[in-house]
Amino acid sequence: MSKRLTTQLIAALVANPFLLNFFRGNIYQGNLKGICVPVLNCYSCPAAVGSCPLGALQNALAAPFTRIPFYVGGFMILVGAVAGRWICGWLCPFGLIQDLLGRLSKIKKKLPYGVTRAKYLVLALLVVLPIIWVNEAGFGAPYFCQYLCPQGTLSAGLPLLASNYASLSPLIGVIFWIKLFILGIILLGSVFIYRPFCRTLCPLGAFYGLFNKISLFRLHYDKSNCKNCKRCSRICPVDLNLPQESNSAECIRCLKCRDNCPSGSLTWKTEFKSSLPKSSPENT
Amino acid sequence: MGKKVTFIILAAGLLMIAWGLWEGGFQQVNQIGSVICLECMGLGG
Repeated sequence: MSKRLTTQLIAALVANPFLLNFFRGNIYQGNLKGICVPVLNCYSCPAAVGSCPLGALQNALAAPFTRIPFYVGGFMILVGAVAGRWICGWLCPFGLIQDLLGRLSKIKKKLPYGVTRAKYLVLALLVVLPIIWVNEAGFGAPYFCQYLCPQGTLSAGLPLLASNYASLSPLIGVIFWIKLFILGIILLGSVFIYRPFCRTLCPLGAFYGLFNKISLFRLHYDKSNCKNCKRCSRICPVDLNLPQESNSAECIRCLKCRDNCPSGSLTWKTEFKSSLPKSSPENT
Repeated sequence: MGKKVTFIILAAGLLMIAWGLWEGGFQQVNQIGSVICLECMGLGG
């Protein structure tokens, strides 16, 4: 098992340790829910220990006379400034699910040009809509969670519905079926396209991507060592033109490029001098 | 230049967290996350 897959599995378990709650049909409601997790992980997932930053942000913005949600916003900025989209590549449970589904087929399609920009629109709407689309009492709603988030449908909606079917089934309406359809499309798409949700719709990925170029940990390209073999570009699962786009906002920092670089031109290190050693084929 | 920007943003993030905690952000998030969110499940409408 690769180091990345192991990290993803551990991270998914750390964010969702209360697995027995899936059978109990309830969620964890202790004090740890006050802590945000850095990934897309619905707080209504029965096993979740912390809160999804996107859900918390939207709910905070949706309250009337809300103050700026400094805690959640600061947390997201801090995480982005430390690691950028490394979080997507190594920690996100929904990214892990898409990765695992991607293993089912070797056929991989490229995304149409420009479609990856949709996630910035989703991010903008996520922040703006809960403030401007309000009811008579001045309350907005977490519209991203309500109408789009496939992670919430998969990890919260379906398990809680299954374990509380008698009480929750009357609430099933059009929105539920729309969300289920979106989830189905994304899961099916993950088999043939590498991480379709992360690349096209995820607002958290869009936000972290803004920090990729300036994050504390990032890829460094040493042009003097590069043999211009383009192996990095060929192996990149998100179809980046490497090594030039090594810190693109689209990069989820799986680090396959670094691990497969024969000359060690790409390194993953901090702004400080200490460099994390590569594991290039020549050195192993 | 790059280092300065990184550290300014890191410091801003930490400052915002500290401010948010002082304003009761932890309790606010705890309240949000401790309720089963029917909307998140697609069951709200």
